[in-house]
Amino acid sequence: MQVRSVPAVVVLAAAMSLGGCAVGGTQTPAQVDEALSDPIDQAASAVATAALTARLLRDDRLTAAAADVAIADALHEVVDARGSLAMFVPPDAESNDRRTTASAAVGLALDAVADARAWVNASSDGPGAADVVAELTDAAAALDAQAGS
Amino acid sequence: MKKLLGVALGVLTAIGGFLDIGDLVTNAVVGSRFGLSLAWVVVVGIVGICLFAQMSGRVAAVSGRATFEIIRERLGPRAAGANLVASLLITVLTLTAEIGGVALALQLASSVEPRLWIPVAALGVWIVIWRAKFSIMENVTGLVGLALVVFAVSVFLLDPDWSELGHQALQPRVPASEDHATYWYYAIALFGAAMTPYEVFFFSSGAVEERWTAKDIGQSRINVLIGFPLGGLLSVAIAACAAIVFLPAQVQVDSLSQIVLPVALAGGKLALAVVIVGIVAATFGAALETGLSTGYTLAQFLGWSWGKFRRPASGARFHLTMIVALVAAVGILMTSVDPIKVTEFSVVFSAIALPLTYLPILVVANDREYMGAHVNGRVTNAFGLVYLVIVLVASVAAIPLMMWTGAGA
Amino acid sequence: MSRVRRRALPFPADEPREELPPPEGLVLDARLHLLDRQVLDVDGRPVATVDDLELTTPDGGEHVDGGDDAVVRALLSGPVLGTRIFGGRPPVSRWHRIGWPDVVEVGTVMRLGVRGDGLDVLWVERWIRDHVVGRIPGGRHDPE
Repeated sequence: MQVRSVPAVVVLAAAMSLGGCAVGGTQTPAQVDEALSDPIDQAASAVATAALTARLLRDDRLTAAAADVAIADALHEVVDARGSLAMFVPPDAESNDRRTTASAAVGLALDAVADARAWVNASSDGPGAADVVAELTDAAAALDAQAGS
Repeated sequence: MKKLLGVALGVLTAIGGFLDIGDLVTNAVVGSRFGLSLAWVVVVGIVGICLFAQMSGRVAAVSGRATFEIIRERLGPRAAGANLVASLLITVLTLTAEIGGVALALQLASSVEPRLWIPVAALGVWIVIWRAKFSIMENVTGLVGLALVVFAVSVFLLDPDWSELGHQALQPRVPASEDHATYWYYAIALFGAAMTPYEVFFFSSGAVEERWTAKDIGQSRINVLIGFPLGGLLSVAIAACAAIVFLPAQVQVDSLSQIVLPVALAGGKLALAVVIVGIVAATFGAALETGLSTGYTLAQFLGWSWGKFRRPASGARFHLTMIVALVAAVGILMTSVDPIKVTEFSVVFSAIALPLTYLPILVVANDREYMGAHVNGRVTNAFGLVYLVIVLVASVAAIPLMMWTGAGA
Repeated sequence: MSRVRRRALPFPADEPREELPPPEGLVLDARLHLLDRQVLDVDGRPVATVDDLELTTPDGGEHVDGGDDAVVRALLSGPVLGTRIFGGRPPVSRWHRIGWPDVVEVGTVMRLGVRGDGLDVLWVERWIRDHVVGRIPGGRHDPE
């Protein structure tokens, strides 16, 4: 009897754990919070790095090559964050609203870091150093507000 | 005077050759998340690597044989074979991480994509292994790697809150934003970064390459006991730079470009240039060491003719092994995998493999047939046993912690 | 092979055994002194590791496990390592042999009295040297 029930227990355990991975399935509030706050943190970290890089380049303490690499890496992080938010399936209306505002803040960050990259490469007559830093600061503030909520 | 210069060269080379991409990345990540509260792990790791490097150097100097040859003789082909498989896998993974590190550092200097640098870096590593003399190779990469001292200089230039740093280091506690499991996971990662498995095999094979005898034990002891701790101090400096600049802003360190930003902040473009040169030298040197280690371990287990002191034609299988290892490393990197992720995995898997690689050395260093009068003293054995326990605990805890914390996420 | 029961022993367990005369020649413990030892040639170059041994009876006949005295006829290397760890035995034609008469010294390492170049056991090394490593520029030069 004991021997025969072992395979059944294994199958049941596998089914339950797979069920837990089902898309749009039941998510605990903690998981929802994590799914919304991790991308915010990731984007905030990238914006902070980009801001530091921009300030260093503005003060001529960094080579253009290194700055380009640093900002490109930061941009990858923000793109990842936006992707994670997009893949998140909100279980209810409230988390859907939260996701929308989070997405907006991350979108702001994406634009800011992308503009910073353009400035580093001096490929456009676009924003100057001051504008870039200001844009990054605004994006950081928006993300902070999100993280706080 | 000449002897003094020789001693100085040995020590400086040991300091400059100590750091590799694993130390760079792990210390920076730890510094940005935990401040200096994991600095004690670096201390534990340094004592361990000093202990075991000394043992393996002594074994090679006294017996004239490298450790892996003796491991097979003493422990039999099964145990040695298991050891070989584990060591080879870890070493190839580490080699991959190092070559990736060289490519990333060259990208920082030139803004050229790393994927273009990877074959160049691997080719460079191969050419040096193929043609350069062992001692020249070690001395050049070691001395140029000393440029990483700029991290220590940067800590001073950044004018930090010393009491805060001291508090973090001397009264370690888990920061509020992190949980205990992640803290211990990174402790194991940092331990694996400091006590790399390949170091022991490389050290003993290097002793045979440079034809050490019992007379050289003293010099090697000085190199290890002064050089390695100073190298460890540089590791802590890297963590400190990250702690000063990134911890307050809660920035996550994911790339080599972030790791050099504190140095640029401290010292401008000059410091940046120095640190990039240092990183290239350190990772290139480590790539040479790991590449050679793949050849050493396989050749010594199977009884092949090996050694850089021989011409490649006299060590054909040895050199072919290293060529295959380099090709494998390039293959892995060309899949566009992030070298930083490879590094993070390699240090944790190093910690897992440590018992397999360190127990045989303890056994061999106690064997009178090979060591004669130079067997381990009681103090060394006591330390060795303590470290064996530490290494076993770290190895066993690594995988569960990795799964629990999602590899430190 | 079934276990031998105590009552099935062909002789009483406490029968006094006759002292056999010591065998001629050097007596070695195969596992301690011979197996897994590095073999060097007359110039000190590594040849192989002893992966296994070819044993015969003193008259040169086929040696049976656990039977009579054994005499080492040759050192074996190569594929026999796999079968030694995992079991089985490769066919005789695949053995890489170093004949016992070539062995000059048995110690921490084993030394041969001949040069490695002529030995079968190094054919892979020679092949790779001639066809791979030797073809790459600089392969036949000393390191600088």
